[in-house]
Amino acid sequence: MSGRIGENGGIRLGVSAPQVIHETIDGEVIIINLSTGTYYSLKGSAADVWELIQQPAGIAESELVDAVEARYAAPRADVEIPVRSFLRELVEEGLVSPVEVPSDVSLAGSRQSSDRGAALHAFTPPTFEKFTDMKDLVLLDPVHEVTEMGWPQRRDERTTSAS
Amino acid sequence: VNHEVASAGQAFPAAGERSWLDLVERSFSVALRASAASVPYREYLLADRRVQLQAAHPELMRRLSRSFSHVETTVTAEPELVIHLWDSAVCGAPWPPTPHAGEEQAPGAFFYYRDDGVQAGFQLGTADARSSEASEAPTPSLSVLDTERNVAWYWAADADRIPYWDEAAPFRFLLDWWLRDRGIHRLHAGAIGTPEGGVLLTGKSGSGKSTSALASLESTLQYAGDDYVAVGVDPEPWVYSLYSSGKLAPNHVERLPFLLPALANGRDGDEDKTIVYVHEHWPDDIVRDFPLRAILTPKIVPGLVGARITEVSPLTGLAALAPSTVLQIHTRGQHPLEGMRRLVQAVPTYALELGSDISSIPHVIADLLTGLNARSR
Repeated sequence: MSGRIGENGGIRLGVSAPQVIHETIDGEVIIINLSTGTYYSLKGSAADVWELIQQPAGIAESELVDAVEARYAAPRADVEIPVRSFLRELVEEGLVSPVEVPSDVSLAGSRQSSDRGAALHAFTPPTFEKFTDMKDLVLLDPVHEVTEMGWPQRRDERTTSAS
Repeated sequence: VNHEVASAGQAFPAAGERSWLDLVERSFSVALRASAASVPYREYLLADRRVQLQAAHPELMRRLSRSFSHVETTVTAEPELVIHLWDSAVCGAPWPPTPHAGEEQAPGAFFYYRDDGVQAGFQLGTADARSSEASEAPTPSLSVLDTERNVAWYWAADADRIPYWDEAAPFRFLLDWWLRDRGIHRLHAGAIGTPEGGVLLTGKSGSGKSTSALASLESTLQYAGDDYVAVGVDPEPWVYSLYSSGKLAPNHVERLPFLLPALANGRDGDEDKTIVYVHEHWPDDIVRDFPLRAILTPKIVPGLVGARITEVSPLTGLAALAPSTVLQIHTRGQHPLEGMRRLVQAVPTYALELGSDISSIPHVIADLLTGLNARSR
């Protein structure tokens, strides 16, 4: 995967589809990583960051910091380090990864839509709650998407085709 | 785990070419010819849709239709889905085409294929860590759905080695795929209620879902399922019973002693769970479908005596329902998460706190339903 370099020089990050699925209710987010069986709950500023990542063109780290700063009207010094380290955690968990930016998507447009009205609450550093109690489901029954080359084939052709 | 399924040179037939499905059908017809009896078939109403089962062997029909007995129909009409059942070991049919499994050894490993007209899943079942004896290892199985013709196939390598959890809840993948195209989701949840209204019981195995659902058999509430049910979101949330098989961990049976005479697979041995075919023992205590009034997440609370119900946020309800449901679907994309999100927003969500008095569970749920049913009138 190679991210397209944004105007400000950063790799653009987006949700790791299709193995990561998510839904938002009343400003709270649930994220499920289908590859690991781990799921996450995000509230407050973490849910805001997650929403900001949902841009068609992804978002660069510095744009994300700008957007959170604008949304909470908070000093950059308070926002920058927590947001950057949270983003790093999302990447480490495999929830967020570099995105290919379609050529018809304007990077400038995505930045505009990211600064919405200021939030009502004071900024608290974003965190997630992580749940691993479903991991066994994935470990016991690993799932393989079969490509055109892998299936179907007749059982008695296995030996010939594998050699 | 996302291994490449590597094999050389065998491409999927070009669009429009049915040679692969032809091989599946041919395997089934060999099994049919070997069977002396005429094709046994039975019809069921699954989520209000007519589904016909055709088996190449009467014993296979008996075992794989047992949990559908509560939704069997004798009304003759064109089925909306036909599922063909056969195996190779007992019926003597050649293996249908299966994917090359490479180095994959995990017994539950699932191989999934989809194109515009076909969905197919193959599950490995060789040496099994969950079973102590090799002879009891689950059999490999294949599920194929022709989405254009509404015809499906369920094949097992050896019908005698179909694991008890597949016998208790057959065709999970086929029903998942087919019902989803019709706006119905198969959820990992129990369900109890009456035709006037009922609840979903969500949560992972061991959370008290089955205990709460089966406890309803000694109450005014009826049973619709304790592990998997089908749920439609539109035009209003509606629950459909799929399987009348209850699954209980052996140490939970003590809490429901009235179940003891009904256990299908005994309580000894290495089985993870014991099965109760509810319809065979309590035919009047099953409800086929009802409007959904609430979603409850059971939680065992040490020290508590009588069960009690407290409201929780919709997201808490979604977190109890969604992960185990989507992780058991075994396909990426096309997941029902959005449908489940709409469900927890459409009805109230509660924690069902379970104490030592099991008989109190259906009573607190019945009380809750009395209020919710009245409100929706």
